[in-house]
Amino acid sequence: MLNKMFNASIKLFVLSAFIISSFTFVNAQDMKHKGMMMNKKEMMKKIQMLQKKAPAKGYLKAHAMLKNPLGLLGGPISINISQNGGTAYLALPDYRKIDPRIFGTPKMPRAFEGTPGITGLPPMLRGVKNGHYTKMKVKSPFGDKHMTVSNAHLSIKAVDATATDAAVTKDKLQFSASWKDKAGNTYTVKAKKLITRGLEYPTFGGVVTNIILHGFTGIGTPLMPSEYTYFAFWAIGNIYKNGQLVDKMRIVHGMLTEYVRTKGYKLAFDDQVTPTAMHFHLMVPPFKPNMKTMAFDQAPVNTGFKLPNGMTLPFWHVMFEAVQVNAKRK
Amino acid sequence: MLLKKLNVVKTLILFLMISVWGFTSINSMVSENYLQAKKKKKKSKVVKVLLKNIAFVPKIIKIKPGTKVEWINKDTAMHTVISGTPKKTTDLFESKNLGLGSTFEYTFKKKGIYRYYCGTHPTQMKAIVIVK
Repeated sequence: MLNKMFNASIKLFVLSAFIISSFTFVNAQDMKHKGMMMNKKEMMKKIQMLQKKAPAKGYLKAHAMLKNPLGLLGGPISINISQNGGTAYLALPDYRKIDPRIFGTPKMPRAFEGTPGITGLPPMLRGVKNGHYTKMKVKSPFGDKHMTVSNAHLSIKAVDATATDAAVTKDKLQFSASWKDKAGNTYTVKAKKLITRGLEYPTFGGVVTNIILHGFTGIGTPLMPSEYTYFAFWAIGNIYKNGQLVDKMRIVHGMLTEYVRTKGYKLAFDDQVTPTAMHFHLMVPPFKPNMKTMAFDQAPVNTGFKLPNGMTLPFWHVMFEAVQVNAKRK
Repeated sequence: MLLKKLNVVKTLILFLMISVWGFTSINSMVSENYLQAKKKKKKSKVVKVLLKNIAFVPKIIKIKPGTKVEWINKDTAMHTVISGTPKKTTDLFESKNLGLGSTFEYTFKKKGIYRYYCGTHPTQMKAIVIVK
């Protein structure tokens, strides 16, 4: 009996270890143990099953090859957003609390399909207490832990012209963001090319304006609250540390949204969002698109930023709080 | 006939007297209120503090007892104004969430050194009001 329980707990540990690694970005080298590799296959199957169930797949298929997408109703919008110095807030890995409005209950779970962390959150990654979800069992880029960085600069010049996902776009983007850590290192993220269509959720030609994202919408991770988004983009870009290229061809996502932080800079639930304020979020997720499977593969970002435990931060999630915003119909 | 006329004149005079008394007392009441309001307005000075670029500007203000402080959020970010320090709030005042252009005010009646901070950005935004 004891032996059985021991075996079961070992199995559970190995299964969780894989999910955790795919989600919290533990180095794949750690998983090369034989037994683990066997279970990795099993888990890969489960994750692929979840990825295939991403709700927007049909919609995305209808737009993927579109060569003549329609324009934005009312005409293109040009957007300029900037911050010239001052503070930015860097999100650190943390256990995200689970909003029941988004994720339901253990008896009736919601928002679990899609790549874990990109569009869904599998129930096995959710902590449960007294019949309710509590917080994630693993750390993610979406939580309350944060630190401040200085000399934060943000420069965005964009045009939202194309309405839907398509193979081509008339949307435009020039994006650069940089900040300095306490040791004096400067980190820069630059966007190179727009992602004109999404793999698991739409990207609206690369740039979108005036829409609700995340949370209940299924567009972007539900780990972020549902938030009115004045402007957002999805692009491929490069990462620099002190002017040196440290990672390239990464997904770079930015959005100007209503305010989703609360007292102590904690990440809000849906009912805590402040609609009368706004801030800009930059996200470089620890995933890369896989055009063969049309899904996302785990791939930690080489940010070059060392966490206190010696680990390299595997993502960028940076909030710019003192932004200047200008936008107009062209 | 003469008596009737005299009575009419008497009534008219009485009416006139009451009217004059009424008017002057209302007038004096109004002017008294006006003067009091003016005095009050003169007394309650307002000092403005901006919430700008994730900071309170100015960071330290010196005021006299009875001075009203008005905080104005000039950032797009959401701020709050809470008395005390992030480690120990004093429950003296706490604003609601302030969006761009929103204001909060508090009148400092007693002398003292009052610390306050922004609840959203507690590590960045701390400031002091000195009342003396």
